[in-house]
Amino acid sequence: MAKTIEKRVALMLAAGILILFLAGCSSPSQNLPAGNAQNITNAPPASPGCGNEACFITAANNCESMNLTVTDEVGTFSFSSSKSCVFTKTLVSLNANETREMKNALEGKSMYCIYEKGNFDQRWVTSLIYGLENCQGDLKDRLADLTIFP
Amino acid sequence: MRGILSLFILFGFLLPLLHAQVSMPPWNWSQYSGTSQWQVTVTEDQTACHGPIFTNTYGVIIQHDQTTAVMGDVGHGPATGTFISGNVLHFRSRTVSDPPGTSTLSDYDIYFTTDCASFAGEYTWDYSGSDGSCSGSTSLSGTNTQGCPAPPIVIPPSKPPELTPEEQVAAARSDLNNDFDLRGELKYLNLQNLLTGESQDAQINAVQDRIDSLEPSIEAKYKKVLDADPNNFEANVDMAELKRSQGLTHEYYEYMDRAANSGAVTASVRDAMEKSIARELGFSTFPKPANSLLMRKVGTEKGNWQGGLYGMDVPKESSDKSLWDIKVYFTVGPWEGIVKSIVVN
Repeated sequence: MAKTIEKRVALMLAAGILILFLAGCSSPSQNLPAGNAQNITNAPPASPGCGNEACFITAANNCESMNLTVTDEVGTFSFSSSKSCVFTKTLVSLNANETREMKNALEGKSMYCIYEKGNFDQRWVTSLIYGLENCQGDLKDRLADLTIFP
Repeated sequence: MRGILSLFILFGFLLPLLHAQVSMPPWNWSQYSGTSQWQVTVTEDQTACHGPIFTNTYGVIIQHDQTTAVMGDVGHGPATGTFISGNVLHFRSRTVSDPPGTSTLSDYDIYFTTDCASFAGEYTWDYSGSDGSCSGSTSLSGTNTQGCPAPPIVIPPSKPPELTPEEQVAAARSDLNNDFDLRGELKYLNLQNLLTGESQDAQINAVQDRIDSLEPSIEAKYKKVLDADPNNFEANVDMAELKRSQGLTHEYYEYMDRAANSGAVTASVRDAMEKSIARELGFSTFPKPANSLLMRKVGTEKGNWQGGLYGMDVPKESSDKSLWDIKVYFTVGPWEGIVKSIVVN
């Protein structure tokens, strides 16, 4: 079993690295003080950027290459979409009030979700756990594990 | 009158009853392997040879090998015959030493009774020697007081011991692991296809072929477990994951739901699951909505389940929150985590 998991993790890790390289990673944005309302950062995009979630969702749905970084009460997330219809979500940083253990478990973790053009699940952007079953990666596994706790 | 009545009773009632008690099923010597023992009365007519008619009795053993049999010496040496029907043993003509000359025996048949009690047969012979030639006959009459041989005891071939359900699941899961490895490879190859534009079609087809040949046998193994116990937790979880990997979302949900409802996830099991996952994530305490904005949002989303699961409308169960938490975890959680963190009693 351990060997099987290791092999699968290795495959997924390789796939994740490949996706991050080709889909483009957005640079992490600065942490904002806790308690702020949702705030959109406008980090200079390496590829064309979007100013808001609606713009990003539209672009992703068309399988366009796009980046967006969003900070809300939970933390800062970066999203990217690619011409290959691969969506990548990274939890860049958690709210400063989260425990060190939560930060260690989740910060910097990513997940990727493959979809068909016209069938982008916008819940991947607007929620934490909806649609996770169609994604893969460390962030997906960690968030899924957290659903067990009441 | 009384005598006639007695006879009537005897023939009308008692004889059939006695017959039923002593009658045996007809014996078939041509299906027997073993030996039989006989007292054989041999009557030899040598009158044409200017000799007497004399009678001898021999104790004779017949060695049976189903359709063939070897009769011991009854005066002209042992002979091998072939059953031409169930109880008729045929001997072919043969020439035997009959000092000072030889005798050529005719073909002959030995007729056995179906109750194994007797047999009879007759043959002619032609003698030729330095002292002349002549012909005669020999009749054989055998009796057997031991009855038909006991039917052989057939010992059925021993079947390998049946595996326990746990062993059956373990065997199926070994194949399932291999299948998931193949599906992981397939996903990776498809991803490479997408991202690099370099065709991986040949490899993709090869991996798909292996998946297609492996999965029917995996499902048959789990089906056997579930036919005996439809609520077997591990078998249902494994089948749920298999169906999910096949893209069969309705079936995935049915198996997952049955696993969650199986009663296997008791409060103590759930407690063990939480501790196992907390340990895996490096948590010294369980994260709670009270001290984590992220957990608060996860809890809110669980509570406001939008009903979507692979495009199906999965109803949220409001009556049992802990069962609902389990189902959400089953929906999104890694199956290895589910199974290895559960100790089912």
